[in-house]
Order: sequence, then C-alpha cells, then structure tokens
Amino acid sequence: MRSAAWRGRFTPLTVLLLLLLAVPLLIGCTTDVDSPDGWAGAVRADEFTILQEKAGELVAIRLGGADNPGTADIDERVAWRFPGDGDDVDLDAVYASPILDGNTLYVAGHSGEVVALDLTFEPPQIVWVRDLDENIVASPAFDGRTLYVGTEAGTIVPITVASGAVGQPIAQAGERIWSAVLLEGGALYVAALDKRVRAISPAGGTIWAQPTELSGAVPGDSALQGDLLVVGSFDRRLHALDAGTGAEEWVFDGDGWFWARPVIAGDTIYAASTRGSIYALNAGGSDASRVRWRFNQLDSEIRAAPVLAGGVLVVAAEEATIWGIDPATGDLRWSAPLPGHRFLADPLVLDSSLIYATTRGDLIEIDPQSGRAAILYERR
Amino acid sequence: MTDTWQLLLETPLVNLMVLLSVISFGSYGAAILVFTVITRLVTFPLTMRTLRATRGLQELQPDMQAIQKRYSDPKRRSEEQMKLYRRKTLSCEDGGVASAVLGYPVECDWKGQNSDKGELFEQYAAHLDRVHSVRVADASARQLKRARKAMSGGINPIGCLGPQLVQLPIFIALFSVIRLTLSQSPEDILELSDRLYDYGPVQNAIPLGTSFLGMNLSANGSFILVIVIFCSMWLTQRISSSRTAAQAGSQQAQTQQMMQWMLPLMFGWFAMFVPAGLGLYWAASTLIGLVLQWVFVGPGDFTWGSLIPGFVRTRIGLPAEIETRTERERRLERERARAASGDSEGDTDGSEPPGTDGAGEDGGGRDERRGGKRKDGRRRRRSGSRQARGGSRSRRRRGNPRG
Repeated sequence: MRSAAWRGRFTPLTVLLLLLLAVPLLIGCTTDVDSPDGWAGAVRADEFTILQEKAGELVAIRLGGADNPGTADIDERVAWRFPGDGDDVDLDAVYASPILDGNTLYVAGHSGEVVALDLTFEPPQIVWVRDLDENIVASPAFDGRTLYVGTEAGTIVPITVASGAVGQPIAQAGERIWSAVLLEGGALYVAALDKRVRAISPAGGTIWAQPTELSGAVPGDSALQGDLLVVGSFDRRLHALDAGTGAEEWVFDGDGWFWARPVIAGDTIYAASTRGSIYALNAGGSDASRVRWRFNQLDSEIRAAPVLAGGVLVVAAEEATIWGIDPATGDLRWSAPLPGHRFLADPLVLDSSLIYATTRGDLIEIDPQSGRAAILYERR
Repeated sequence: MTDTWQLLLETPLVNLMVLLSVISFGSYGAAILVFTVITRLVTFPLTMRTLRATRGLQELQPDMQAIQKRYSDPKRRSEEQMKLYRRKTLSCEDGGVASAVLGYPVECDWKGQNSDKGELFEQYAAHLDRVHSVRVADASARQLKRARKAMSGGINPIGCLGPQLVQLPIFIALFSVIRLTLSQSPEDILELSDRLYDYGPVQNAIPLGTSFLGMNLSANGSFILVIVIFCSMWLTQRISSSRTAAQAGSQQAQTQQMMQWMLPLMFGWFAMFVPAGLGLYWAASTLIGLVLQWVFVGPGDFTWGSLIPGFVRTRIGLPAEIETRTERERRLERERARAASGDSEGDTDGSEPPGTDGAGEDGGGRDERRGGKRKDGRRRRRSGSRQARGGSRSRRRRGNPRG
C-alpha cells in the first residue's frame, strides 16, 4: 500500500527533479559558449621563458643548462606560476602578448585586468592591478611610459605604468578591438571589428579615420613598415593602406580570412590565410599586390604569425605542423610534424631559434635552418 | 560520423543562419525568428500529421471511454482500442470511382467504416453496383488506386512521435549551430572560418551581432525568454489536456496534470543554461506551435477564464467554478432536450457504444441512429469522420439535439 502510494505520489516529482538535475549536467558536457582559452605567445625574461600554461595562468620555465630539456624534471624547471594562491587576480585567459620592460612584465587578461609584475622576486610580486571592466584580446602598445590597451568595448585605455594610473579612453571604435594596437611615429593605429582602421594621437585626437568601412572586420594584428600599413580582414582580403592618410593603396583577394599578422620584408609581403595558403606579394610599385608565389600544401588554419628567421619563412599551421618555406621561391624547405599540438600563438623569435607556445601549454623550439623541433616544456 | 554530421547538417545550417542574418539586416535575433518560421513551414506536413492524430484521438475519446466501460478484460480492451485506431472511413465523396467510371457526378449516398481497408472498399463497390449499377471492376487501375487512397482516418496513437523524431536532428544541430555562431570568443570564431562557404556575404558577416530586443543572444539564461517558454509550453499542455476527457483523480488526469507542469518547468530550466539565441528559437517555435494547435485542432475545453484562480474569481464576482466548453454544451443540450420533449432524458454523451467494424452495406448505421439524414431523406454530404464516429462536438455546436 505504502509502495503504491509512493509510486503514485512521488515518482513524477522524482523524475522531474532528476531531469532538472540532468539537463544542466548534459548541457555542461556539450556547451562551451564563451569559454576563452587565450593564445598569448611566450616571452623571454633572462633565464625564464614565460607562457600561458592554461587559461589565465602563467608559468615561468627555466630553460638554460639542460642538454635534453624535454626529459628534464618539470617540477625543477618551473620557477613560478601566476596567479599564485594568495594573488587576488583573475586573468580569465590571455590573448595579448605580455610586454617585458626591464624587470617588469605587463600582462593584460581577457577578464579586463591588467597586471604589472616585478620579476626580480620569485615568485613575482604584483606592482599593481587595474581592472578595465572590459574584455581584452588585443595586444597593447607601449611607449616606455604608457600602455595603450585596446578593449572589446572599442576603447583605447592609457595606463601610466609608473603609477598604474588609468587615463580616460582616447578612442571609441564602434566594435571590439582584437587587433594589436600599433604605435609608430607618434600615432596609434587601431583596427577593429567595426571594419574600420584609424590613426589616433596618443593625446586623444583622430589623425585619420577611413571614411568608408572595409567589407570585412579586422580580427588580426596589422603590419606596419614605413608608410605601408597592411591589414588582414574577414572579407578574405589584404588591404594595403597609406599609414599617413589612411588611403587604400591596393587590395589583394585571398582564399580565406587573413587573421595572422603579415610580414613585410623589403618589397615583399608574406601573408597566411585561415584556409592554409601562404602568399608572397609585391608590396609596392606598379605591380603591387601581384602574387610572387603561393604555397598551399597546408590543410589547416593559420592564426600564428609567420616569421622570417635564418632566411626561412616559418609558418605554424594550427593543426600539428610547422613548415619552413623558401621566402624567395615558395619551395618547401622542411616540415616538422608535431602530432597533438595546436599552434595559435605568435612565436618568440630568439637569435637562432623560434619558440612556440602551444594551446595546451607546451613549449616547442624550432631551428629555422633545419626544422629540428625540440619540446622544451610539456605541461603535465 | 562527426564529419558526415557536420557536412550534411551542421555546416549548411551554420551558413544558412549567417545568410539569414545578412538578409535580416545583420540582426541575428531576426535570423533566428526567420529560421523558426522556415523550420515550421518545412515540417508543417509532419506537424499536420501530429495535429490530425491529436484531433483523431480527441474525437475517439467517447468511444474509448465506452470501451473502457464495456470491457473489463485488458486484452480484449486493448484489441478493441486497436480496432478503433485502425478504423478507416470512406465515402463516395472521397472515392469518386463512380463519377470517374460513369463520367458524371454521382450523388453521395454512402459512407462506410472498417478497420480492414479491403473489406471497406468491397462494401463501397457493392453499394455502387446495387444502387447505381456501376461495376467498379470496369474502372481503371489508376482510378481504383485513387479511390483506395482516398480512405481517410486510421489513427496512429503514437503518430506524434515520428515528426518529433524527425525534428530532433535539426534541433540538436541547431543547438551547436547557435552555440558556434553566437560564440564571441576568438577561438570559436576562428573555428567558424572552416565552416563558412566561399560566399562573400556569408564570410563578410562575421562576427555576428548578438544583441536583439535588449537581450544578449550569446549569454545564458534570458529571464524574459524563460518566462515566455514556460508560459507558452504550459498553455500548450493545458489546451492539450483539456481535449482529453480524463476523469478527475484518475491516473490519466494525474499524468496530464504532471505533464502540464513538468514539461514547461523542464524546458524553462533548460533555457536557463543555454544561450538566449536557442531560447529565442524555442520560444518562437512553441508560440507558433500553440497557434497552429489552436487553429487546426481547436481549444478543446480550454477557456481563458479558467486561467483566473478561483479565489480571484470570487473576489471579482465571477463563479468560483469554471464551466468548461463541454460542460456548457452538455448543459445547453440537456436544456434543449427538455424544452423539446418536455421530459428530462439525461445526458447520454460519451456512453454510447463505440462504432463497430463493417457498418453495413450502406455503412450509415451510426448516422442513421443519430439523425444523420436530412429531411429530404438524403444523407449529409459531410464526409468527415467526426460525424460518423460520434464525435459530436460540431453537431452539438450547431445545436442539434439527439434523439
């Protein structure tokens, strides 16, 4: 009787409660909306190499001295992790490349917190933390005294590094700023997802703004050399602008988004698309934007910036391979398959090698001449 | 498997949503609404099947109750119920065989019901031969096929499951599509690059705007949408349950009561943990479903007044107990019957025996019993199963007293 009563009265309620509990669990297993991981590149500070080990957590690795660093004891080689237990900092994820100035490291987290760390201490001490209340993806610009931080609110916020004082925003783009803020010749160059590029004065005035918007948003970092500002866009085009006036000099149509920062080397521009193509283009002259060669053996997206090192154009495809290409001919020099690794961060360029931080928090060193790869640090 | 799923369903949907966003002047919220309408249009035949099954079940309620009363043996009861579900209707109006063979219209004077299609058609053929001297055997195979196809009725009691199952992959794909297209993290947008077709407007539309009517479509748990989803689903369940005449306190009534609250609560709770874009789709889809149900099946016993709690009704001077549509019709019917005959016959609604197989040569036994003939001796031209099956709602609405 009791059993029947239990079934009659409580079974639906039990089922309901179980369902209510199961649904969030189910969704938790399937959804990851807005869960940024970050793709900040590594930075070298004396004997440390600092990278984002996992979302919002930095780790400093000692690299010198080990003959075979890949097999060395990891715990001994980790100098410190940040934020530590007592640090009241939440970076969320780090996309912006950290900036090293002497012994101070400036890190801008996706959470909107900007931190100055004194690296003379181990673990580093927080000099100041400023919360800008807006997400940060773009790498800031730095003129030795002030950080210019682009935010997802479309603003450029100046922070005086000596005091950590936050100034008034000096620009208001209509959309998020993901592209690194460039500082050159007394002008800040800002490209945003509102499909516009602007040059603004650090003091706050607009030097020029494109009168008409591009046909696509600008997600990645731009490249600047002399008067040439090269901007990649979601419209699958590379736009070359006059840095002095903002006038569009030429446009190149590619096969995918241009998210990776282009390389300007002399009269050649190297640009990589998210469809895995690498282009070498004429930068100027009567045949500007003409394709010198195209390399498209990569069946993977390219987000990490290509770099010229040791006379080789090194490109890391997102899915597990780094390629060495002859910059003059576009011929493949070498390829380094690295199964299980994903490359989204820009590499750290050292004298004779490149260091890539992978998405899972490993460090990989590449010899640009030979393509020899060494795993410097493998996250547990 | 994952690649096939992405290639065939997810990626086309991603591109469709982005394109709809472009067409909707960059408003992703409007794109979701347009997509909901498109989905509802595409699945409309399936929805109609569901609604027909619902309406068929609703019309069978009196017969079902009669079977439950008549047969105590569960096996026999189940058999009789299955016969009832399978019962088909055919009238000369549907068949058109005689007209096709003779070349001129034949008066519609026959209607039959049978759970065996072959028997039903043979009855019709015999009727044509006897009354109109039309030999069905002379008809072409195509005409015969058309006539057999014209048999209506037959209910699949779980017919509503098929359409839901068909929609399930779309729904699951849409979940990942909305998650993918609305996500604002750079990694997820980078992932989109691989999914978009090489079509300029689609490529250039990224990133999509996420703001719609003051809501952030990529954020979880829009309170307004939770309320809309809860209310619309509750109302849908409330109207659905009002169609089936479950006795108060019975197991069926308890189940209905539970479902009326459980489903809206579950989906409302679900909406708290998914992006508002998906909640918008649910809300719009449920509202459209509610409208379709109201238009094609009707409100059943539901009245808007029943939404007012009893204690509020007494305070504003309304009767505490709501008279349902059926109760009101029954009362009016009784009153008319009393007025017509002078004595109180009592309510017989729902207590008649269920329709039986093989309604006879002229198949109109039930109609005849219920006064289905016109004054001029001809039968009604209405061929719908409602009239033949004793689903007396429409007749009662017209005020025809029984007996």
